Formats: sequence, structure tokens, C-alpha cells
Amino acid sequence: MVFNSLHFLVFFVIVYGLYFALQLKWQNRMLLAASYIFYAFWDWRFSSLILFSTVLNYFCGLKIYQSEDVKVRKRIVFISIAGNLFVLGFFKYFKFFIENLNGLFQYIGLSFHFTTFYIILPLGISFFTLQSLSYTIDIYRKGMKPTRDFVSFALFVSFFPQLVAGPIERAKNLLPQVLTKRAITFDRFFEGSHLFFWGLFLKVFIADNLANIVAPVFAASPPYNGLEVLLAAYAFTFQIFCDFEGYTCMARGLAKMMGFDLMLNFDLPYFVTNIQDFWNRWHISLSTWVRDYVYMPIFFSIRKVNANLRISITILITMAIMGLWHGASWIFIIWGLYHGVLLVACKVIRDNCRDWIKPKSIIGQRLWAGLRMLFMFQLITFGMLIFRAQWGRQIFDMTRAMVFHLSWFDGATRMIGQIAGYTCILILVQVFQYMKKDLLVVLKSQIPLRVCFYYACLILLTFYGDFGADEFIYFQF
Amino acid sequence: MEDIKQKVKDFILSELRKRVGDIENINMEENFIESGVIDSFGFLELLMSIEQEFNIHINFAELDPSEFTTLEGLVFHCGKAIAL
Repeated sequence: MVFNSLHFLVFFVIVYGLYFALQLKWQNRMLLAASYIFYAFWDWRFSSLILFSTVLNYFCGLKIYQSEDVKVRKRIVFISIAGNLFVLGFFKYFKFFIENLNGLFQYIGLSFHFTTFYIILPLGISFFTLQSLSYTIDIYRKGMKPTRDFVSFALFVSFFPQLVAGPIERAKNLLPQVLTKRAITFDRFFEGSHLFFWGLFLKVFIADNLANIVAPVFAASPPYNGLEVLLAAYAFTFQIFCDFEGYTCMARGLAKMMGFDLMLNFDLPYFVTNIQDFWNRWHISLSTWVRDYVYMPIFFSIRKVNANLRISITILITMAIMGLWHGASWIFIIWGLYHGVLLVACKVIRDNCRDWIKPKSIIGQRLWAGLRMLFMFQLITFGMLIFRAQWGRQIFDMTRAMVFHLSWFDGATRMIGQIAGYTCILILVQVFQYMKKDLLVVLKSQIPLRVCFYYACLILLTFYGDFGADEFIYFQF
Repeated sequence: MEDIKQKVKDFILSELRKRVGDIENINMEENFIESGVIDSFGFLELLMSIEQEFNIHINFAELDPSEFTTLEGLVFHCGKAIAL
């Protein structure tokens, strides 16, 4: 059941009606039941994994808090981490691990061969695993107290708007909201509706239409036309943003309508002048999670090396893990490492030549910032090409085509027109948001402008929206 | 203990001034990274220079980041480690 379906509309109307009629205690029980039903629409069998993660972390959290003995606390947090990662590892990485092990055996001439079998990847497993893990780690680090209310904790782990593709919420943010009465006001309802509508537009009109342009190019075999690859890469850069931000906006909008505030996941990530800033604005809930639970612990565990080398090693390991989180494939590891190398380069440039390349005049600085933004967009787009590639060799073939075979092709004008047509409203809105430094600038604009905006979006959605897609890109992670 | 904390605080402020320039309005409880005072690379460099200056070793991985990403928290934990 995806947000952009009639099933979901019916589901949400029923849930919302009940939500209004109930008191806090029963609201939470009803939302918990609704979240499990929502998940069961994909595959009810995997609801048991959410329940496993919930029970494990609930009891581990309590036990860690009750114990003053450092060794005991360490042991329990280890059980929590190992339990969660075992489930994630088995369902997501087992096949990848065995295949690579078999490949290694073959390479070194051993006749050993492990049998692999097909394992279905449970939807949203990477999201709810990280979310519930942060709870026990935060308690271990004495950053929060556990809750004794099992229903509320179970709802924190399985809250349906963000269950399958985030934002990956922290217990410190979401759990207090689950435990206390939520305020539902007209302002929050309108803001939530606006977010949901904008998310729906991003997904159905932009992302799913761009997907129809991108998919044939990446499904084709070489030789490639460089220009076609370049256009497909640009299109995918917009597609993935609209797909994921579309989901996030809808999730935040639904939650907002029920009185919850979910964290921001994207903050104009393509309007950046360096790669570090990109990661501060792209998939914020994941990047801050990785910063707090992966990046810092790795950094503190590496000692006796030079400061710059220590940070660089930390960045590369962290980004490789971040890549692997996205999927059990070497392509995602390459993508992570690509960003790791860019981050290291960013640090080196910042430390050594930031002052001498910064223009003195204000106009010069603005021009320089604009050029950097444009350059960053190219680097991000190339990263997206790696991300979208079907197999490793395709990255090489496509890159070679973009460098050596960049020529006009039949249908180029049409492809450019389609990409421009699908993305122009997004670009206009984002430029507006960037200039006003306010992501809700449309909602806060004059009523006639808002009416025109909603009307235009509605017309485009109705006549040109692709309602056929039943998945979001990030569901597969 | 207060002397040590003041010493650590002065050192952190001087390091921040070196790295990010003007820090006149820094709040004791403000999160360095989230408020944009310093980025995560710069913050780790700051931690390394504190460890080097006072010859201490703190396992920050055991702490909640919100505990040591504020001036108050950082001064507290570093002061505690020096006093030990």
C-alpha cells in the first residue's frame, strides 16, 4: 500500500477518523494496529521482524538503564546491536556475502562452494532497524531514559508514515511525542496537507514520469550515446530527489496532520557549494544517524595516526558503510567511496587553499558560489549515475561515452524538452525557497499565488501524472 | 576543578577562534555542529587538539553526542578527564 494509491486514501481516512474520536491511550493503540496492518499489506510475515526488533530493544533499553555495572551495560547494548544487525545482515547481506565468498574461493583456486538461496528483502528493514537501534545506544550513552510503555515504544518503532522509508527518527524526538497528547490545529492540518500534496506531486508527476525517461537508457546495452547518458543522469538526479523527497514530504505531512513533527530529511541538497554541505542537506536523518553512531565511534577507535589521516580514514570507512547500507552490491560501495573521496578532497581543499581561491569582491564571491554550485551539481550527478548503474561495467561504459561520444542523437530535443517540462515547477519552487531561505515559502505566500500553484499542480497531476508506479526507490533499501 | 574548567574553556574558545573566526555570541548550551558554529570535521580536529594539549584520552564514543557537542558539555567532560 503506497501513499499514492486509492487503498491508502481509504486506509488513512478510516485511521484519521478513529484518531479524532479516541483519547491518547487508545489513539496510540489504534495507530500501532494501523501501522502493523499498513506493513502487512506488503507481507504480513515480516511484521514479526518489526516485533522482534521492538521486543529486543524494549527489554535491552530497560536492562541497560537499570544496571550501573559498565560491563553489564556493555554486554546488553552488544546483544541489542548484534541482534538487530544479525537480522539485517541475514535478510539483506547474506546472499551478497556468500556470492563474494564463493567468488573469492574460485579466484584462489579452491573448489569450495557454498549454496546461496533467494531471500526476500523485507520492506523498510534498514530504516526500522536503525531507528530502534538508536534507542538502546542512546540509553547506553545516557542520552535518554527508556520508556516502560510498551505500546508507545512499539508505535515509535513502527509508526506507519515513516516505517518503510524514513525519515529515520530518533527516540529523543519521536518518543516524547508518542507519549504525550498531540495538538491538532487548523494550521498544522493545512501544513500537513500542503506537504502531502507537494510530496504527491513530486512523486507522481516528476519522479515517475522521469523514471520512464531514465529506465530505457540504463536498461540498454553499450555502445551508449554520451549525450543520452548525460541527460539520463541529469533526469535521474531529479528523479531520485523527487521520489525520496516526495515520500518524505508525504510522511511528514501525514504525521503533521496527526500532530506529530517528523524531522526534515532534505534541505535543498542541490543548492550546495561543497560536498560536505550536500551531506548536511541530503537524507539528513541517515547522515546524522551515521555521524553519531558510525562516524564518531570509528574516529575514536582509530588512534596513533596523524590527525588528517585519521579523519580521512574515518570518512572513507563511514562512507563505504553508508553505501553498503543502501544495498548489498559493490556498486553502492563504490558510490559511497566516491562520496568519501570527494569529502576527503573537500577537507584538503578547505584546509589548504580556501583563502587564496576566495574572491575579494561581493560580486566575485556570488559568481564564485554560483560556479561552485554548478560544479557540485555535476559531481552529484555523476554520483547518481554510479548509484543507478545496473552493473559495474556500465559505470565505465557510460563515463567513456560521456567523454568520447558526446554527440547529438535523434530524440535529444524531445528528451531535453521532457526533462525541462517535468522539472520546471520544482526548480522554480526551489529557487524561491532558496532565495527566501524558507522551505514553506509556498504555503506562506499570498492566497492568489497559492491558488494558482495548487491549481497548476493539480492539473498536471491529473492529466500527466503517472499513477501506475507502486514503489518508491528507497523501498528497496 | 573550576580552574581546570576555565583553562579548558579558554583553550576551546581560542581554538574555535582560530578555526571559525568570530565567536562572540557563542552560547554555553548551543550544539556546535547543529548550530553551524563548526562542522563535523572541524569538531573532530578540535577534540584532537584538546586531547593533545591536556594529554588526556576520552572515549567520546561512549557518550551521547549531545553531551559533548556543547561548550558546557565539552568543558565538563574534559575537565573531569584532566582532574582524574
